[in-house]
Amino acid sequence: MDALVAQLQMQFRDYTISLYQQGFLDDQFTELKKLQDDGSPDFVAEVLSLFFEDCVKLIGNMARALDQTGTVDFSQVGASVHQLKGSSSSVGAKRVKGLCVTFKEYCEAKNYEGCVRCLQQVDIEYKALKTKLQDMFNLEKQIIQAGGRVPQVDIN
Amino acid sequence: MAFAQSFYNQNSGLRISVMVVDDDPVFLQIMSRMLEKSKYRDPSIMEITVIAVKDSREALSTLQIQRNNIDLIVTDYYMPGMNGLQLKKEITREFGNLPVIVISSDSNKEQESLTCGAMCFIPKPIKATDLTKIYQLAITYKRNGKSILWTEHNHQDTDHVTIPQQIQLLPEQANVLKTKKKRKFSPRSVPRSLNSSNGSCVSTDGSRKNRKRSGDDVESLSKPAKKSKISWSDYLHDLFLQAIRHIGLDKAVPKKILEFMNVDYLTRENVASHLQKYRQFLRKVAERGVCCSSMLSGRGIDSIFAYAHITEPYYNNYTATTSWYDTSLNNRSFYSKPGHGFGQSRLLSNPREPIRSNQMPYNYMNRSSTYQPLRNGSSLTLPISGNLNFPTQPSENGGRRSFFESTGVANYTGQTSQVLGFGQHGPLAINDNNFENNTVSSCGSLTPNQPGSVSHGSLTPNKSDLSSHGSFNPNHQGNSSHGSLSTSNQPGMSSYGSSTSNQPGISSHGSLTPNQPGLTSHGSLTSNHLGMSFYGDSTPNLPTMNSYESLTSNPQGLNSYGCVTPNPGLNNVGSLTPNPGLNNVGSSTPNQPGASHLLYGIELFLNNENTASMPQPHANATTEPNLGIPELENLSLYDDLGNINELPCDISNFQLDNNKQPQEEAVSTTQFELPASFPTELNEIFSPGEEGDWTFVNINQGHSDGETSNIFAAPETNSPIININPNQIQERDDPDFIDWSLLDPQDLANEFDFMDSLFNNDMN
Repeated sequence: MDALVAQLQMQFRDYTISLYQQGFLDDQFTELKKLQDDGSPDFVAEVLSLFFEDCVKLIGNMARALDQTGTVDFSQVGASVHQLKGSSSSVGAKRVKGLCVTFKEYCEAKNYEGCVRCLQQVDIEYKALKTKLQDMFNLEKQIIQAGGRVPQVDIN
Repeated sequence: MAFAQSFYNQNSGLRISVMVVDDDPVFLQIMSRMLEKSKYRDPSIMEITVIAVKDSREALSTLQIQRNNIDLIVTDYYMPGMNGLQLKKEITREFGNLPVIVISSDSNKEQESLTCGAMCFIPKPIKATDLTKIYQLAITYKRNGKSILWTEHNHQDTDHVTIPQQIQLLPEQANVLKTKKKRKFSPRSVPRSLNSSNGSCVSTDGSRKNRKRSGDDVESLSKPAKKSKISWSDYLHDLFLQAIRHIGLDKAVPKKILEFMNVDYLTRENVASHLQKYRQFLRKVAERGVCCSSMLSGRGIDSIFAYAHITEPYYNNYTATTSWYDTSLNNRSFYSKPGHGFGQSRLLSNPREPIRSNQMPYNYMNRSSTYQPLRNGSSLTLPISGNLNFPTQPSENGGRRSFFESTGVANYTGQTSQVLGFGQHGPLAINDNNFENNTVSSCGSLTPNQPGSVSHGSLTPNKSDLSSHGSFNPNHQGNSSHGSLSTSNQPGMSSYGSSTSNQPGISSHGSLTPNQPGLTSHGSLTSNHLGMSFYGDSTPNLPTMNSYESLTSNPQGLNSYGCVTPNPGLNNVGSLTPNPGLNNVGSSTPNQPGASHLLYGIELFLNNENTASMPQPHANATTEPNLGIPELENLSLYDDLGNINELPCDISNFQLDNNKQPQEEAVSTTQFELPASFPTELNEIFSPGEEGDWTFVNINQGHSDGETSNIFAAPETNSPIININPNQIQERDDPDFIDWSLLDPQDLANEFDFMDSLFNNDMN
């Protein structure tokens, strides 16, 4: 079992590092992890689920706003983008946040195509992140089930 | 740390309650957690409670319910419905000066937030380092609140005592605690690390006493007191002072004072001991070469009191040997009632920043700001129409005449203090006045002291600067007073509150002491050389802009909390203290380089002879101290204000009394130039809140008919925002976090040199 634990831990470590390297996550995520402790062992998972729910909601808002026949209310889109930017930066969702920045610019420029494209990309990104994180959590679960401890991964 | 420890031990630690407002649930959760966990960083915090609300409406209703339980509000900027700033204003309107921190992922909002009066601005994402700032703010505020408020001492209550909205305490509120006079805390002058969450810093005897007192309070709080101990709250002390004034110090006997005060829980013994201390204090001050006694007794006092009950000058300073009365200076101003029309008190009462002075016995703090009278438009206040003239720098110049002769004698030796009053009233008597005319000062009293006089509410315009409000007290050595604006030595503008440029002295609270060209404003600036600056002092040393609260640049010395000591840098916030001395919590010491990150939105306009006349606005000491010239266009005054580019007040109200100073005009206009946009900028800086308690004075650039005094009155809601001259910044501090304990020895050198030059210059 120890071998299994060790192996899982290594897998976990590598996987986590790769997420950072690929730009999915950033330091803020590390900070988030630090907030988790024995007292609240699922903190990160909770926050992230909240985040993803938020994503769904905001993307829905944006899609609706952009989908208006007639004049598109860019300020509304912008407001949602801003919010998404805020949440993504809080959780450390680096790519999503980067996209939001671009998205925001398009909104300000009232560039419809740009916005639509960004929206699609945001949608893809958050889903990709969600999948990755789910994999990571699964690994964690496996480690714990195998009797091990989830290692602290030092990203540097 | 005796105090802190005792406090901690006795009081089962500090509990802070923070309300976080954000429409983003993700952020709310993260923030809550971060805050809750951050208590472990600081041993003196026992607990941090976070109340998370999703929007402004809910925030307001929560506040209504839990007003006393909330120590700090952290709000997002962008929110549906009421945005963060609107919320802030609403909070201030309804609940007084609660500290509000604005966060946003949009860092462009910083300027505006600070202008609006937010205690600070933190960009998202929030880092762990930001948390420190947050909870320390909360602690400070809470502590200050406690000391000021001396609530019934009720163990449970103390934890929740917070923001004193008004300085005046009702008798019922005064704590009656046991007096444990024998108890003394250990070394008062223990330098405290800035990071101590215990904002008190002891720097003098006074502080020891204060500490003792606070300690006593704390101790008493922790157990039911058997004897009743009187804690001399600001309110009580003010009453006391009024009594003395009324009766006359010479004739003051406890019995009469007691009668006058008419406070039932006060005993004759209480008054007697308080009176004794007061006398001792006065004596000490007098010994210091300032003749406070004259001031205090008779004319001085009377004249002082003539003006809006400015509390005794001695309040300002805190000398090493002065009694704890001095400490009052330090904190004094900040707690005044929001709503004070009086600029001075306004300054002094910095609502936002619970600056603590080192020593603080809160009782005294903010004494000076109990300017009740101010409120009623007592003559004192500020910026009202008056002549502000300030003479100048007290330095040893022989030829200076005191500008205001009316009441006092222009005495080089600083015998009489003359305080300038407004228009009608004569100058307040304060110490010596060697005024140099150059500046326009206004309001309150001016006291250009040489050897350190204490003046309260005096303005001492040193060179050509504008000083305003409150008192300026350019002391050479000695105590500065509270609520004084000390002269801005070089061309600078100081305003509000008090500024005290002391040499060796103690600066006081609520003083601004703009040394070199700088703009300092608000709160107090104190550039002491050696002294202790206190709370609410800002001492812009070199060309810096200091603002807000206090800036204290001491070369050595204790700085107190809530002091900003900008060295050559920009300083902001709470306090900055570039000293080699002890700094306190809530102080930031921007040493050389730098713009301190503290940004509590201080933008100083540097008005520097040496530099271009163009003010360099905001280098907000935010994360990036912009060294470049900020685009003024970005400055935006409050919309509420209505008049964006105009000064809220009617400039014509301020008339410089040109008559009195023949030289003034020449001097004033030459010394420095204010850029045309200055008033605007100033406006922005001191952006008035809706309530508009501030009176803005236009800084006269000499364009108008020789009037040069402009005074800024601090808006009640805002802390003055001073732009720090980016030119002065040489390096940047870590943008994310200010190491408050940073004391840079270079600063010392700077300060000294500066101070020397400062005073020397004036002497011409």
